Formats: sequence, C-alpha cells, structure tokens
Amino acid sequence: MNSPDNRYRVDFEKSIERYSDMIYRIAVTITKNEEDAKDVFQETFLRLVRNHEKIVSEEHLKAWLIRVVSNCAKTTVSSPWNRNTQGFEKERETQESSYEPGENRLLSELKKLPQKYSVVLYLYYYEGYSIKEIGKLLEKNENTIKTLMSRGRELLRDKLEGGEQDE
Amino acid sequence: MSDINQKDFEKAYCNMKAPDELKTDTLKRMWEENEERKTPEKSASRKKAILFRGFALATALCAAAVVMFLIQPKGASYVTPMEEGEYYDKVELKDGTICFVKNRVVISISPNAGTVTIGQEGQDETEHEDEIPEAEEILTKSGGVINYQRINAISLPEIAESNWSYIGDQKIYVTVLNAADIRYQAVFEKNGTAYEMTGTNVTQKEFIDELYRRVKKVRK
Repeated sequence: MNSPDNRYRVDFEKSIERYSDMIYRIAVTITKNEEDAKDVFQETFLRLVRNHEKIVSEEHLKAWLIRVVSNCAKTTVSSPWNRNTQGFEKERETQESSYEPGENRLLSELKKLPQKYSVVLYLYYYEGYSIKEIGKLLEKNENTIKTLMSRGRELLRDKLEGGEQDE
Repeated sequence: MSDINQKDFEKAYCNMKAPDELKTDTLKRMWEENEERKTPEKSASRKKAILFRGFALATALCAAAVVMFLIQPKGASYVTPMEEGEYYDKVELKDGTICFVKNRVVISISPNAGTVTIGQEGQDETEHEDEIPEAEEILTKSGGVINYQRINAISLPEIAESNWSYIGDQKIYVTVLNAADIRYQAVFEKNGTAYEMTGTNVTQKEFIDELYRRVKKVRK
C-alpha cells in the first residue's frame, strides 16, 4: 500500500493474508514440527511490527519475511532445548520408513531431509525463486545454493525411489 | 516418481496452510505490539517500572547476601582461600558426577543433624606403619597447638556430601567447632584407620598447611 507521500506502508492485515501460508510452510519445512512452526510464525510477524518502517516495497516485504522466518526457524532448531531433544526425534524419523497415511509422499520425504536442503528446494520449486534470488534471500553464495539444490534433489530422489522399491 | 518438478511441490504443499486461529491471534498480537510502540510514554514508563523493579530486586538480593554472610546459617561452609596452587579448587563433571581435580578444603561451620563414622572399630594397631606416630603435638608460629592422633573410629555430626574436603583423592572431614579458642578439626580415614587433627588458637593457614602435610605423609 502506497501512502500519499509515496512511501510504502506495510498493511499488517494484508501481510498476514498474503504471506501467512508461505511463512508457515517455511517454518514447518525448517523446524519439522508444527508447534515450533507456530511460534516461529508469530515471532516473524511480531518482528515485522518492530521493523515495518524499513520495508520499502512489496517484493522487499516478501523477501524480508522469508529471511526472517528462515533465521527464526534456524534459531529455534539450534536452541539448546531442541538440540537436547533432537536425538529422540531423529531416531523416530529413521525408524519411520513409511509416510503418515493421507500425507503427501513428497512432503513426507521432504520433512526428513536436513532443513538446509528442504528450504532451498521449497523456495525453488514452490515459490519459484531463482538460484540467484535464493542466494540473496538466505544470504548464501550462489554456488552454495546450487550445491544444496543438487544434493537435496539427489537425496529426495533416492528417498522417493527407495520407497517405491520397498512398496 | 524420479523427476521432481514444480507440480509435485504444489501438490505437496497445497494442503499446508497456516491455521486460522494462529493468523487471528498473531494479528491481534501485532496490533497490541504496534499500539505499544505508538505510545512511547506508556512504553517508557513501563521500561522505567521494569528497571525500578529490577533495581529493587537486585538491592534486596545484595542485602540478603550480606545478611546471610553475617549470620552464617546452619549448614554453611567456608571454602578456604587457595594458596600457591596447593589448595587449588577445580571441579569438573565426569559422567554427571562432580570430581575434584585438585585439592579442595571446605571448613563446615555448623554440621547438620545425624552422624557419620570415620574409621573401623577394632582395627589392629600393629598394622600401622611405624613412621606415623600414635599422637603428636605441634606448636605453631602463632602460638597455637595442633594435636594429631591415630584413632580407631570416631562418630561425628554429619555434613553435606558437597562439604567434604579432598586432598588428592583423600576424602577429609573438616569442621570448625564453636568454641572460644577456635578449634579446627579434621578427620580422615586410610585403610580403616582414622586420623584426627585438631587446631587450637591456630590460624587457618597453619591448620591447612599441617593437614596437607599429614595427608600426604599418610598417603605415601
């Protein structure tokens, strides 16, 4: 929304309307846990309130939100609590060879991938960002993103093919 | 499914949506946060109130610490000042248990209820090495007296496990008795025999120095 003085102003309600699903998906993709994802979701939008004056355009808003949600989610994942309880979760994940009934197969396998791969794959395939744009969003080198993409795709393909053979 | 494409991702994520109550609640919190930011006086006064409360709490805690130090409640202990690395206090965790890596002397001021027995009743006196005397009296530079003696067993008021002293891996019971002439007491056990050392009118340094020397001699 542009104000009469031509300055971009963030409309909180519209931001929630437009970006809530995207923020939630990224949060779930990184944290792999709906409860943590909800906390990350709220923290991201509260940070928007504190920083909305710095946002200059709609594209900037979207990119800013992606960067913040991804940083918040990574912080949550690497918190001491999560690190200490991760062992059980990881064990559980490896024990679960099949996906939950009714859950999309690709999504189920994506959740099992390390977050560094799954978030890059999500941004590329679902949000349609280019490798260069993802690099800027996640503040990473373009080549790093290429490597993450290729390794992530490979892992995902292996998991999907492995599952098909099992079936 | 071997080739991954955009359609697969769209299909995968199409049902993953932010719950409505989460959106509503977040929006509500956003407005609240924004309102708070818009009223700086309110926010400043809140900050001041928090600061004031923090300051009051810190003052109260400091006062409590001073009072506790002066009163010396029951079960309190005094960890001796370390000297030239000899009484070095270094604690580390090994498999969840506290290990005293080096020497550590804790003087318990008021032991808890209950008793602890050091040494074994009926220990054969002839088993002891000759160089360790049965009893000895040492006069210190400050004019005090340290009495050191070999005993069979002794029952003492219990002290907390964390208040035991260690010189090397030798566990030692050290306490100060509430008497006018400050009697330090240390008791330790080696091969079922208890050794008791008491210090009357001695400085703490003299007592610990002697204790350190005695423990080292017994452990040889």
